[in-house]
Amino acid sequence: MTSPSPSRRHFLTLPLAALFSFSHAFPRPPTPPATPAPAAAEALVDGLLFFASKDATTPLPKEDKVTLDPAVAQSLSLRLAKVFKFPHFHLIGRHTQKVFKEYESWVVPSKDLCLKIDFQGPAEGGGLHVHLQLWQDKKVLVKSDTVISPGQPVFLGGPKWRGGRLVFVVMQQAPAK
Amino acid sequence: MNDEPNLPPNDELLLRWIDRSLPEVQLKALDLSAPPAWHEQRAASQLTGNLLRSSLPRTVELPSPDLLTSRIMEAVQRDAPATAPASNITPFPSRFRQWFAPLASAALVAAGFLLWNAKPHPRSSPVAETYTPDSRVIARAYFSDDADATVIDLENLEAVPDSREIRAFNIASADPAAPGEPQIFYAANGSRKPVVVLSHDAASAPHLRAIP
Repeated sequence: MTSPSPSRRHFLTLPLAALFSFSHAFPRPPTPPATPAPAAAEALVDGLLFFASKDATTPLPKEDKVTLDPAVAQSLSLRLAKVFKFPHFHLIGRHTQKVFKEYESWVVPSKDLCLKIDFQGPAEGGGLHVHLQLWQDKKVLVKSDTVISPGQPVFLGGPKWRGGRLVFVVMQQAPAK
Repeated sequence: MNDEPNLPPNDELLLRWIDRSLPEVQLKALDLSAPPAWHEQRAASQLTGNLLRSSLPRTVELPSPDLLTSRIMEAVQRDAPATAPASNITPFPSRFRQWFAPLASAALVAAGFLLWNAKPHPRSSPVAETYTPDSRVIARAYFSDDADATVIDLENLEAVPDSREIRAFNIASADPAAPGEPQIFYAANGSRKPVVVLSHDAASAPHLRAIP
C-alpha cells in the first residue's frame, strides 16, 4: 500500500484536529458508575400493549390482570382510533417504568414486544428526548429518535395478529405535584 | 481507552500539539521548533474550532449512530452524480494546493456542522426520526394532531401467527441490573412476585423469560 502524499495527509489531519479541539472544548459526560444503584430516574413512563381489533368480543390471550385508569383508557382508545382504523383497543399488557439518565430502560408489557429507551436529554415542556428501539423477539423492528411528553404519547403500530394489530403505546406520566 | 485514530507518528504529534494534549515540556519545545506549516495548520484549526464553538450550542445532540449512518447514506445516494463529469479545469499550482487543501477541508467540516445546526432540529418538535434494520419494513413517522401523539406506523411487518399466544404482563418499574446480571421485573400488584427476567445475548438482543 502506498502512503498518502503530504498534501492529502494534511487534507485529513486538519479536520481531525479541529474535531479533537472542538470535542475537548466541552466537558465530557461523567462515566456511569460501575454499580447501578442508586440510579437517577428522569421520569416515569407507561408502556402499554394494545390489541386493535374489529371485534369487541375477540378472545384475548391469557393475561395477567391489567388495569388502567378508566378515563385514561377511554381517552387513549379514542385517540388510537383516530390513527389506527379499528373500533376496539384491548389493553393486554402494561409496564410502568422509570427512565434512567445513565442506563438503558426496558419497557416490557409483553414477552413478544418490548421497548428499549435511552434517555438523551430533557425536552421542552418537561418531555424527554429519547432513543427508542422496538423489539420483537430477537429482532429490532424500528429505531427512533423522538420526544415523549406528558400528554403526548408515541404510538407504534406493530405487527398484525388474529385479524387485528398490536399497538405499542409509550407515554410519560405527568410529574407528581 | 485510546479512541484516537491510528495516524503516522508525525501526524499524531501534530494533532496532539494542536490539541494541546502533549506534556507541557514537549508542547513548549514544539512551540519553538515546529515548522511554519504546522503553525499554519494550528491557526486554521483554531479558527475552525472557534467558528464551531460560536455557532453550536453547548449541548449538541447528534442522532443515534444508526440514524446518522442511514441519513448520510441516503444523502450520498441522493446527491451522487450518475457519472463523474470530465474535467477541463486546470489544476491549482501545487504550492497553492498545499495550503488550500487543509483550509478547504476545515471549511467543509465547519460547513457540515453549521448546516446540521441550521436545519430545523428534528427533536424540537414531537416527530420521530426512524430507522428500520429490515429494508422491507417501512416506518411512517408523523405527528397526528387529531390524536395529539407521535405515530410510528410500521408497514410490511411479518404478521404474528394466529396460533401464537401473546404473553403479556402487568409489571412495575425495576431498577437497572448490575453489569452482566439479568434484570428481574416484578408484578405491579404489590406482591413482589417476579414475572419476567431480562437478559441479553452476545449480540445484545434481549432474551425474556417469563416466570410461571
